Amino acid sequence: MTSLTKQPTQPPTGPLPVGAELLRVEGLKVHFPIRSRVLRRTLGQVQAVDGIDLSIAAGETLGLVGESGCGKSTTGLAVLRLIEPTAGSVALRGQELTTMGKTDLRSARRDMQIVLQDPYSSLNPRMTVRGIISEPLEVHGLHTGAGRRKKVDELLALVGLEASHAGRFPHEFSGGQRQRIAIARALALDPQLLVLDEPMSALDVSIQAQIVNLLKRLQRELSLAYLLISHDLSVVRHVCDRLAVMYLGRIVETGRTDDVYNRPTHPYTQALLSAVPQPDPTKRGARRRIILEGDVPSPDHPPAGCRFHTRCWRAQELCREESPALIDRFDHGHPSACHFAALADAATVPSADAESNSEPPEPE
Amino acid sequence: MDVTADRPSLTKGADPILSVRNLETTFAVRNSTIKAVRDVSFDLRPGEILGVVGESGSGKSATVNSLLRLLPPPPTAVTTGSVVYGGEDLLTVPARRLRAIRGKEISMIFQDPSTSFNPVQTIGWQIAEAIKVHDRRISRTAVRARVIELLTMVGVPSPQVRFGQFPHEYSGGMRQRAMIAMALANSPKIIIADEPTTALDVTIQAQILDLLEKVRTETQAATILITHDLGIIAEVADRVLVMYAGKIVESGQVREVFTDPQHPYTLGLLASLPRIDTAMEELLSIPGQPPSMSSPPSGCAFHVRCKLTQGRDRCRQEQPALTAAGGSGSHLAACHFSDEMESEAISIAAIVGTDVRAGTRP
Repeated sequence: MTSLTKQPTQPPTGPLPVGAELLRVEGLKVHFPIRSRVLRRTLGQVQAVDGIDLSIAAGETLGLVGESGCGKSTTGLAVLRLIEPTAGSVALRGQELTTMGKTDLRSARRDMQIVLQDPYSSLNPRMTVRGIISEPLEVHGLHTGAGRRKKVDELLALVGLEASHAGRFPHEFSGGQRQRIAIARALALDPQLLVLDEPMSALDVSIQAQIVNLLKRLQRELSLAYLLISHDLSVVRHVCDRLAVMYLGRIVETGRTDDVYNRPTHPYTQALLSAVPQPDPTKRGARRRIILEGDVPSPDHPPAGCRFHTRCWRAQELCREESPALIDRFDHGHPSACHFAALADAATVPSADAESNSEPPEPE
Repeated sequence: MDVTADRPSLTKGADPILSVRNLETTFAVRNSTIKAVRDVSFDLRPGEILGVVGESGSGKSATVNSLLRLLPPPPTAVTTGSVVYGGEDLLTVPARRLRAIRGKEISMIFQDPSTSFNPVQTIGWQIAEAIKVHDRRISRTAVRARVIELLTMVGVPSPQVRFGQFPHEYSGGMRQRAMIAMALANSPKIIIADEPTTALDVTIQAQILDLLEKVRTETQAATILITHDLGIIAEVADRVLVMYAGKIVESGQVREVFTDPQHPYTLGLLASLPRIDTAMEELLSIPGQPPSMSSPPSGCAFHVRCKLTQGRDRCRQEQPALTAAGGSGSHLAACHFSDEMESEAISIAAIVGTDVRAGTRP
């Protein structure tokens, strides 16, 4: 990736119609070896991503949610082959990326770009904004001289910055403006897919809304597809068409956003949704907060069977032995990976006198 | 500006355990000064959870750090005003007396539990130290018993083993529990929690919020809870202070502030928050950036980002005082045009697709 080329890369074959399948991920695994420092032996594997399937249509937003360490960011990087997948297939517009050679991969990357979480560390502090935004054009040998200047000015206008900002350096901008610069850079090659890795989480609430609105506008105007990686379930609800909930490297529930939010069937999804504080004090006590016990287990020794069973109040013997498949259990059109998947109701969420492996929620 | 004397809300109810009046904190940085806290007055009542909410740079952390004189000494940071606790002004008591209060009667929980503990001492040793500093004659066995009791109370499993472990052997959530145990070590009357859950995942955050409520019930300590998350305030706080540019712009019972916000900034925050319980057509972001505190805007600091101001000179020229708004005596706001908030909320609802104020959805 470091070797710059002056030869234009192969132009993409034009945008796909909205709704056509843009990205298909099958059986994606990313395992990191744990090596002994002394003997250089492999002691084990961190199973960061352990066999997931995804698909994104052109113009669509898929949310990937979960807690830290669940493998959502690793998935995003593996999709772009910024990390080499251990197994599985990633196809963009039907082209398999995992086996592609360097040159082909570089031209394929014109269609897929990434926006990272922290706009303070993802922009080179020694480059001007113009330099940052035109670098992808340079790498791919697109436009020259005046054409490149014009393209950068257009991109700045697109993300709500002024052409006069182009000569400045990243430190002269606030967090929200820097994230706009990062988005402009990602858009420089007219990609069809943006991987957004927690792009709002370093920003204040009022600025976060500006970036959310910008991303939604850009999607409408440019028919972009997004893979939004986020731990913020409120943002995901607002932005995503579909979502996949990850836990310890696996997808536990997936479906259309409204379906999953209104009728979650996996206990982890239910706990996650119930744990989000809502800015409405009049609902205090009306909702039941499910308090999960303990922490997420380490992905180098994931629990056998269902990986969630150590924190699950519905867990039974079967869960310790057999890993549940991600299948549609209610004909809702949204599959969940739980042997005892059920809609949340008073009978299924833990209460003060529930069994001992769930911490009783405090009466509010 | 002394309007604190006759504020109805500040004298209502039980006698305050902590009274802050006209607190101002100024930092000297190279060639300029930053007014981080500007004329902040509030009371903390026994047993309540007082939420302080605002964006980064709004002065919420600077406020609580000023209360306990945790800022660098003058001339780097200069604090004026008064902070009365138990008849003493914490800003003027001798350092020796302050040390006796800090960590014993008033304790703090910091945001990042991974940097707040000493990495080369065991958790048990560090909590024990917090006890021994204030009680030199306590026996080793008594300290150990007390630490294990505290770890049990905050829900650290197998506290006997955990006592001898180092911070890196604890997970983030467990470390925050240990931090809370340390804050509770001397049965404080006031706990100040500065973004206690910001570094944690949402399911762990739920555990810690649950624990803070349990602590309040069991110890009756008053809590100042600082957060940028309006959801957390709505879930656990009794009263709330909304801060912007170093000032309190709105305060009151959580219920009244969220159901009937009287400052356009509070309403703006609510309109910019995506909701988990409802689909919003659009988020209404607050335009622009939070102001630079070395040269805050004249008049009302929010006027440059405010929709309500509509170019009116009064907002630009005159600083609004924090006065009664919204009908109840406890609800205060610092806006010249609070009486226009109802129609403002309705016009925002038309854009966003739902009324963003609390209590408007089933």
